[in-house]
Amino acid sequence: MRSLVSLLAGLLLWQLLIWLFAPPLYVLPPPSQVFTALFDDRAYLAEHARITFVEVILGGLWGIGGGLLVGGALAWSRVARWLGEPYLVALQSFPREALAPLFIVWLGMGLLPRVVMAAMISFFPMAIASLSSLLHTPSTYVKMLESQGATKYQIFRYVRVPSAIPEMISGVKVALPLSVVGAVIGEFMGGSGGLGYVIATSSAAFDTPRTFAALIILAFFGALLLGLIALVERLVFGRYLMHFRETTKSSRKAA
Amino acid sequence: MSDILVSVRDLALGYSGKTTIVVDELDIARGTVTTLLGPSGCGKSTLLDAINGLKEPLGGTLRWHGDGTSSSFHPSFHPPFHRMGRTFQHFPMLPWLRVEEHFVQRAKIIGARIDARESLARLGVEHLARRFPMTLSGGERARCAIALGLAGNANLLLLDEPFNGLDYWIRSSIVERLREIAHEEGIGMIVVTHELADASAISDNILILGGSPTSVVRSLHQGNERSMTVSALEKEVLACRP
Repeated sequence: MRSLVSLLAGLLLWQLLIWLFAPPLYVLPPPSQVFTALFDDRAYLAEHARITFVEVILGGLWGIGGGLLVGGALAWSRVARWLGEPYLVALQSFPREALAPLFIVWLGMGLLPRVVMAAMISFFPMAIASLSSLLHTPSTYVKMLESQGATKYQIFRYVRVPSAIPEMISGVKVALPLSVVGAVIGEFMGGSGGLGYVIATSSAAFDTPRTFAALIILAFFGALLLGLIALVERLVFGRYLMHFRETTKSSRKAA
Repeated sequence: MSDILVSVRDLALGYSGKTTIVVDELDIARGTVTTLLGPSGCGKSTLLDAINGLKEPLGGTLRWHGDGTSSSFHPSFHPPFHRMGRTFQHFPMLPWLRVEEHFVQRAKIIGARIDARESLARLGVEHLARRFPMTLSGGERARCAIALGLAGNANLLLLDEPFNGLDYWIRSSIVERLREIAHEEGIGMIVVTHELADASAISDNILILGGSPTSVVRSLHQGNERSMTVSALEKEVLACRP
């Protein structure tokens, strides 16, 4: 309800800008024009949206899966952490988007470079979130298990992983939308499919309504993915967040 | 079958080669409650860690007896975790596990069969089996955590600062139940605390720790009558100050 009202308010503001400044169509089209483009070009847009969606999902899954795996491995092994962490930190601060042209050279023009791009951009925040969350297990929990003679594996499985889940989900919430960014950058670089390609070609042709239509679909993607994560979070991981939610609720009450 | 569960001789504990605690002689017998009383930071919990098998001594011997076996602490030796239970300050539990699931987890860790309801019934809280820890009151959580410590035929229960933050009524009922369990089921208990009232209420034996390096400066036996008043204990503690 709240989001619907704020959406309408945004559209109103947009329309207001059109009335006030009457910008040319290629600078800022009115909402009606954009929705017309969205409707008239629906087959074309749907085709390209499907391509982007596949890239995002494949790239996101690889990025998040790889991030979890690498973060987990670094959290498990001190030697791996000693060797691997500097790379993680260095590459995290590196502008990885700048590697896109290189991927085109290495991997060609098809689906692959975009999926790799999406995976790579979502990988780092996920790896860092899973590493730090696995290392910040409350020490009492670890001690509780040690006092019963738990093995390193049991401590990892029964305490480290479950207590890391809230932070890992936050990591997914950052990583998955980033895979949209990666896929679109990959599409900008070349090839002939995807919403990034639609944006690049339509804006080059000053077909701004179509550009906006593609942008709206991308925004919708982001919202859809976040909604999906929230759903999984509630259905699958509810019990791991209960404590977390309770503490945030009580601190909100205090504030 | 010996009545002694754990015996400590000339035990030296510390960090990176530096001795901080020395215990010449300490025996924990079945059916008794021994309290380690001392100021915060004197190393009570370190001694508890050693008895728990988590901290390797710098010197001396630490021997767990039971079922006719006896074993010293050395690197390749696996301490008898299945016969020990331990609780921690404020009785932490894992927020994502239901009370009964803690028992399943303990069973897997110590490799024993555990009936959660039966274990909880020993502390009168079997009705809490399906609850999540967050929904329990302080007293309920204390009872669940103690039941967990005793689950799986543990005969040695280590209680680390068990009564902090609990009110008088809950404390005294838990103290009574712990003493019953100790005496009726022949379980040895070690309580670590800095509260004189708790020490005098629960203990058969009270060891006052102090000095540097920390050692047992006074050993008091009050037996089942628990004849020692808090003010008498206070005098003893004051007399131990350097």
